[in-house]
Amino acid sequence: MRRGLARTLLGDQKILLILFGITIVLAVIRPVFISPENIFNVLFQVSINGMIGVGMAYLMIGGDFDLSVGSNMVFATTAAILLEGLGIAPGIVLAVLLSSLAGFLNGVLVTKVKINSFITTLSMMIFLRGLVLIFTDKKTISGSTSALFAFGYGSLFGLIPYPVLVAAVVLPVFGFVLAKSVWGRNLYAIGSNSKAAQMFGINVDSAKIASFTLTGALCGISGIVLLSRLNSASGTYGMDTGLDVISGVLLGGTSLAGGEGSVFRAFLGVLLLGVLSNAMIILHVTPYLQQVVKGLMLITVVAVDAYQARRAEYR
Amino acid sequence: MAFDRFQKTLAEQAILIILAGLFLLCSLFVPSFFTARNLVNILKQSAIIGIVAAGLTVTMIAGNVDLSVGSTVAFSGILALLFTHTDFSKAFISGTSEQNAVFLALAILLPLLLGGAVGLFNGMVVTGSGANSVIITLGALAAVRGGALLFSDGKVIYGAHNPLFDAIGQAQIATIPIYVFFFLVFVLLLEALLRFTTFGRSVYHIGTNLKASVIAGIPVSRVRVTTFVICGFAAGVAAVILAARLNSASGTTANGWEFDAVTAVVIGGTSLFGGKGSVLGTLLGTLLVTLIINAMVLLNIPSPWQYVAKALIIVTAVLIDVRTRKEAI
Repeated sequence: MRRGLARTLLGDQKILLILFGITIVLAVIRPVFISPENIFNVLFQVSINGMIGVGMAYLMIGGDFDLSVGSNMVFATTAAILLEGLGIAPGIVLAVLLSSLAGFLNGVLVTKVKINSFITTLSMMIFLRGLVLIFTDKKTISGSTSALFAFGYGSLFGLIPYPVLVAAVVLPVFGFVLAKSVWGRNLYAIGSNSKAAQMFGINVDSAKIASFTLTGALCGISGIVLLSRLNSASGTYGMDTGLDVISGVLLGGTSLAGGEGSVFRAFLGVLLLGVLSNAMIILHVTPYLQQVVKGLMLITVVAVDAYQARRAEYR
Repeated sequence: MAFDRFQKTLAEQAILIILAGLFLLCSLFVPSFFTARNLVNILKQSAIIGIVAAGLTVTMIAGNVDLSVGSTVAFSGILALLFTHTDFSKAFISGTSEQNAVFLALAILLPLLLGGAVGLFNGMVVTGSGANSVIITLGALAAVRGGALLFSDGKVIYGAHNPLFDAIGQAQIATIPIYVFFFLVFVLLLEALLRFTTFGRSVYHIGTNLKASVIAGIPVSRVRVTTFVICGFAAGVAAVILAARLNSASGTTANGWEFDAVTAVVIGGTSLFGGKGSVLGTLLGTLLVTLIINAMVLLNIPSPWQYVAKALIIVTAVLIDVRTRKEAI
């Protein structure tokens, strides 16, 4: 089922080596790179994209993807602010539930109604972005709770910031679930050969719906983490999230063709992309050029992935 | 194949009926909808996005999609307006201001060339690697928009008010801009290309069954790349018209057009699975979407609701597509 490391784009060790190399070089030429502030910035971004990346890895291993993650994340941020009146905890829980519901809906549309993931999640992306714009009245709205702020800016033992801690719990847990649970095993089978999986009695639809719902829930949690730092929401937040997460997960060697990948690899890819993005900022690459580089990188990663998948097929 | 064509005409009739029904409803109940000015407005709003959607139709019938069209409209528009400035053009070719026609030609041709080049790039990457066109062109969307912002330095670019260039977007016949007529001609040309040429038949074949097309000896890669080039080229054409009409362009121009274009194509009865559809259907799809948005504006519904409406429209359209497909099987 798992075609092994041979098909990995870079290989886990190579990614680690590249990361190590970039870190050394940047630390020497731009010492600000290893300042605690900057390291936190990178880790914060990687935490958010990494958590959503977990969901994306589940989806891509099962042969799907989700373009609506950025909108869904901001949707949760917005919902949490609007639901503040209910009390902070119920508001947050409800916001995460709403995001999960959006994910669930994606799953139902893809599996039961049989609209493909592209149109389903593209429509969901526009739909949720529209809702955010309606609720925020096209402005930036702010929350009023300081309790959430204490979370966003606090840290465990003054060492591990809470937002990073959330990801540090989520990633291993769902990495373990993917690797060891029946659900995870089914996803690999579905991604490798959906029809065969169905014939073996695997419930393809429910496995996929569960992945979409998980992705929605993780978008929701990420949205709350975002809120805890920014204390605001706007229709312009999270525009690049989908692109970044998909690029990162693919970069880590999870294939769009399905049947292959892991949470750890997704994390490595997202981390590499996060460090590269940060490096571009520190090296004063203009945001426009950053966008060009990111776009071309996605194209390269997907093209190489597909090319290798095709060659593997002929072998 | 012949069977598919019959189905296609059925879909076209269905959308024609919906369009007529909605038109009637809006005329009766939406204030100031049924006025000459508003009807021309609908045509104007349909024409430019319609050209993009028409090009995209060809790509989608072949079973692919191009999400980079909006970005291409932005980049090409910037290019067009920069080259309306004679002093800007002079940096690239030597000549005197008497050679105005040459500069004008550049302002029109370079954007088209850029559009075609983006399409060629997308097509070659997608067919060369066998990758999913959604994700490849999502990357192109980011890269080309980044390129447009980089090239214009994030500023709004204004044209030099070259009368000939401006005429492309502003000249009228009986209060209807000439580009509306051009849109209709463009649609008919593409429709003819799909219906009456070997290339067109190959596009349908490839969209219906890629593997069988390879075995049947159709130059699959060449045809697929060409569909992308046509799509990019159409985006370039739309860019020139939009730039001439607004006399301004920026890196954020045509933001989200890829979604509007996909919506118009899908509503027009082109199957997401490829192999089925028509440019005429897309024309109707474009009119339908524009009509709904136009009515929403006239009814003073806040603009963000348009996103919600568009999302619902496209899901409904795909739902119908999936249903008819099931019945066919």
